[in-house]
Amino acid sequence: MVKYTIRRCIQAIPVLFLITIVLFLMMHVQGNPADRFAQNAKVTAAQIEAFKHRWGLDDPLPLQYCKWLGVCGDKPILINALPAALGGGNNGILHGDLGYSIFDGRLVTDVIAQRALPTIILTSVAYIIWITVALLAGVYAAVKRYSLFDSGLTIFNYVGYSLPTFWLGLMLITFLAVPPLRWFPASGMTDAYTTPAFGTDSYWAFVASNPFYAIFDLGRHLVLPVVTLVAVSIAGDSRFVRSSMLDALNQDYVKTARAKGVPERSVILRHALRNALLPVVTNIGLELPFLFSGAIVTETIFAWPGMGRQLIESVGHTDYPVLMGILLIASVFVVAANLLADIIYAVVDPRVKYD
Amino acid sequence: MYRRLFSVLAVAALVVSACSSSTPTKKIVVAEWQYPDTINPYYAQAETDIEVSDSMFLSFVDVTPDLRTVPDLVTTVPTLANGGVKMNGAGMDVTWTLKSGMQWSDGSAITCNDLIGTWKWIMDSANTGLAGGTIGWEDISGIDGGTGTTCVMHFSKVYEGYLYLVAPLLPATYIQSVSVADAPTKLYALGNLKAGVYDGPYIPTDAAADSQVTTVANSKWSTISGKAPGVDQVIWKYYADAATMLQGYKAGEYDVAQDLNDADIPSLAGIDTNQQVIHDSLTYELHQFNNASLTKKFGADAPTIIAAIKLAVDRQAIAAGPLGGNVSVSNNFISPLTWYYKVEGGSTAADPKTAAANLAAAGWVAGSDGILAKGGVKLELTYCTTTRQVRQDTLKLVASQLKAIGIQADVNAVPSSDLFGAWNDVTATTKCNLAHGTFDVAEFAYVSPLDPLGGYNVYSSTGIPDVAPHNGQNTARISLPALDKAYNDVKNSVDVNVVKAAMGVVQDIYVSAQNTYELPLYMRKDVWLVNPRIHNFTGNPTTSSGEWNIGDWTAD
Amino acid sequence: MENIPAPAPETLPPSDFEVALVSLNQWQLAWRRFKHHKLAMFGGGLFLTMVAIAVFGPFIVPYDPSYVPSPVHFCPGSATQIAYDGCPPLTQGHLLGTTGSLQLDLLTLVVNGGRISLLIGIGASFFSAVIGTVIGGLAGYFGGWIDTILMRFVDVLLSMPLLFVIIVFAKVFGYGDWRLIMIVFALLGWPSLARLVRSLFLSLRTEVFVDAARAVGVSDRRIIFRHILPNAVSPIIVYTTLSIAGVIVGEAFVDYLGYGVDPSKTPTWGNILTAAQDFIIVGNWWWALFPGLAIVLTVLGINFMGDGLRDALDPRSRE
Repeated sequence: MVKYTIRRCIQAIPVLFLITIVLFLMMHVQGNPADRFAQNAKVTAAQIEAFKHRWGLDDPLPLQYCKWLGVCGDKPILINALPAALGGGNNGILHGDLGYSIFDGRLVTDVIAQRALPTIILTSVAYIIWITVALLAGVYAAVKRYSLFDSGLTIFNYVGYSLPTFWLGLMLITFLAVPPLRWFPASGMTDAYTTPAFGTDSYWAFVASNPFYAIFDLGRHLVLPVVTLVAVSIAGDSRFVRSSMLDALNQDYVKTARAKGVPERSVILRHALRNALLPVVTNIGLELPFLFSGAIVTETIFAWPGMGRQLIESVGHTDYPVLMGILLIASVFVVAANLLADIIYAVVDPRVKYD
Repeated sequence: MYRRLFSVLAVAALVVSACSSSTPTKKIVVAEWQYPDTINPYYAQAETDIEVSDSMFLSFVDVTPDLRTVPDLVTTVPTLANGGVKMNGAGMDVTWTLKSGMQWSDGSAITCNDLIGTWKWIMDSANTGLAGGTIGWEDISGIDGGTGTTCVMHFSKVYEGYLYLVAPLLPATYIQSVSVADAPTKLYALGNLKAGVYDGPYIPTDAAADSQVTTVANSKWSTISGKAPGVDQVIWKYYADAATMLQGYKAGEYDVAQDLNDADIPSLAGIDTNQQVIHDSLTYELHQFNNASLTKKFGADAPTIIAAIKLAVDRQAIAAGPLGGNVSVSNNFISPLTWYYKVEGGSTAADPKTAAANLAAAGWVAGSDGILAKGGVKLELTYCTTTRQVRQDTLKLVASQLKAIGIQADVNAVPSSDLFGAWNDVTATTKCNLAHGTFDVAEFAYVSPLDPLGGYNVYSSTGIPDVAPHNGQNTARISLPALDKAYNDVKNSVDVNVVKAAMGVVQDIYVSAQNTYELPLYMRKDVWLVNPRIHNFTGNPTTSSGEWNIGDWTAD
Repeated sequence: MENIPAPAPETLPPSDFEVALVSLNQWQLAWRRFKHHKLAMFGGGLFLTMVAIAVFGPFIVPYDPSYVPSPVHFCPGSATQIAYDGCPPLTQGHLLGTTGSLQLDLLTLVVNGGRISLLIGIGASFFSAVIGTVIGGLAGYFGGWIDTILMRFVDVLLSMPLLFVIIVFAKVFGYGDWRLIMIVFALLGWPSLARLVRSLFLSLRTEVFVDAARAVGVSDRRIIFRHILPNAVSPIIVYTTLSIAGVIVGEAFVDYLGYGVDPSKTPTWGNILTAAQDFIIVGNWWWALFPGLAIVLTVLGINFMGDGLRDALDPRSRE
């Protein structure tokens, strides 16, 4: 078991490298940051060349990738990969430097940090809500199979799954946010008139001095985007919980427990549910990467300044450093989540054999 | 017990929120839907960048909504007539008289040294990413004035666009505090706007990406304008697109909506008309014909075909259909608001019958599929545009109109970066690229130039991008000697009468049959939404947009 | 021993009950189970209806999809409804109403759009099923380093952000052609299926009947095709069916972001929906509703049908 875990962890590293190489190549294929000077007659070719040189865009591709990694740089190749204290360089991800955004000049780590927090707030609130509801609804539907609740849940799920997110978001804004029913704000994270922008120093100062109002304001702004996300995502998980629970309820040990006279509630919760939860937990784990970059459309509709929108914008601006930074982190999430899911599965299910 | 605690907290929260949620009267919230990538106007590529930075920086002169040039940082507008501009051999000298007693936001005086510093900063070869390049600045041989307020700019050759060159003036001490090579990332860095030095009515305190930019009143602005800014804070709030921005307006989330245009007018239904500010814009929508590719396809018949297309396209239907009747068709590319505009005749009505007759007379006969053909060549054209819905709808309508007379239009909507991509940034086979000329007809928008020389690179034969260094804007690939001469006259003179006459010639050619390069469709409109509690908002067709007089805005 | 009589022919003696026993094969059994699943039959019917509309509809609708009418100011039969905003359903000549802007007939648009949307969905699912089965099967059957390499490759692909890949494809191969979008979805869909097939093959490989076949000396190829694949095919069919729905919704998502099928060339349900959203604010609810409804009904139908298929084809069914 431990050997398996270690082996998978080690295997994950070349996978990550491969991912970054493929993403790097794809990124260069699809555009160039100098595109932004395209419709501008006043910018001469010499200036565009100078621009490219300043950002290292005129280096050959392998060299650009190498510099981004931190293996190439000021110091000789490979020596540069060592920590600065040992005589290595200080550029590239091996040294924790993700570079500067070509688009607006900020540190990539600043850009990502500033954008990650709103996304994580949004997605984790939605995640917790839909997992809880999915678990409760799925288990109940499995236990009371073919009941009205079960059929109702099925229909609700499928409708929710096939509803385009942007349509649902727009409908929610149109009916609940604009007059006559101004129950919730239409977009953004904060009320511009009363609260400083989220994430700035003045915002944290504001939170310190008016905590209740700040939380209330944030909460109000969270409602509609979270509802949109939950409605669309709940479908998959509750179906999965339901079928997993049904599988467990049909097992022989459940029949045995019932035959032995164990109370029904105990049968469901202690015997069936525990075993049903295993695939559910691994499935939930596989959804973790969503926390980082999964709410693109919702963020766009509700002007939520998050990671998903940042990805789209960076693609549009062909902002290489930010793009690679985001893609790297997203890939790490995915690989880690897959690893975790596999390991959990192997640990908890003794029936699984690995060669 | 927990329930009670919870309800107490809830009530407390409500009470606190009720106390804090009343709208303070000294704030104005402006909504945009494109977050700026820089607030340094010399790096700004997008209009929305300039709208924000216009409240923070001032230029030597300003342009009013009726396109008059008025002084801002200077006392008078220097022209040849009032002696502010003197010819000097092959070059010229321009005298700028700064107002006295002006201060930057950090209290230091605004002097000619700032002008010298700005010039040196722009001309520094380590400066990469200048949106305007060094055009104009490179013709300056020297600037006198030092720490005084009377500055003389010596140009080594006549530069006609001198009035709008210094836009804006930058503080010498601050820009020298950061090395020029690092300027794109460290000067006026979005992560540290407080460190910057400004002279506009409002100065930024912080910026949250894609969310909000907060600006506060600049107490030193009164040394420049003689009055205090209208409110305490102007907050820029960012939405993701126009549709959600409009919903936000209806929800009362802000006061002024920016960056709307004619395509959004139908969506304004339900908003009071006295809250809508709609002006003619300087931007016009056009179809550009690629003379090179059309000549290659159809040989000597290319001009006839282009003329037939121009007759067959029903522009009134375009204005009435996809544009919902919100724009007016135009025949000229110069805005009627400019000082060199010449009233031109010409009809905007379509005449497909004549078009069909002309094509038939040239020997084009309809095949079995209804498409005209001659000598084995089918009359098929590649139409290109961006993915904006209105443009796609327009081209769909045009394709339908052209099909009626036997021309097959193949419509392609591509991302902006494909259409507008620079020569080296797309391949020679990228479909629908203006620079490489991989199109037959393209629909996009140009800004009608305020500065007459603005059309030089677009219509003069020296601007054809096929010639290295490939940054010409003459993507229609026209070469008309009369047009070249007229534009050269404009370039080499600062005498307004000479320039006006030459631009008259340009406009005559544009409206005549010699024009095989452009079909103007309509002048676009600028739209703003303004909450009634805001006063003194006027709007402005130039790039400054509504913010040109932002210092004068007040709120109830 | 001379003239032993031949054995009697294989007919059952007539019994009191006159019941003829018919032996059913796997597929006929599955169909029986499927028929009993009401929701599945309903879903299948729904899906087939949508397919029929997509196939035959374009011949029946009154307008040509490329026809753009001359714009009018008011809707026919009304003195107040502005045609630019779109005319509501049941106006003269337009059963589902018209779109805003160009005032096109919505029924024509939705029916023609269905063709492409369904083609993309079915095509992409089919191709990704083929590729995924081949790769997953190879990895699962042969194991060892083939498995490791292929599965790491699958891992890499599964970690790619969907949107990013689509954008790159659009830029490299050209934007907006529905066939390209179909290929993109096919290429994005096979890794998940490969994983599924691999685990199926992995577990089936250790079944007793495979060991027996190997002991007898059956070649690898025969084992795969005649022994393992028929047992694996049911989950593959179910997965492929369900992925059609995923592709249709995914295509709508990509259209919204602007990288999908070029609406000026071919309509799809997704890009009709995207064009409609700007007009919701002026009260045009039908332009967004009908393509959205089409998507929802198709996805519902597919999912009900898929559930039914899963229950019917799984020999360890819970029925």
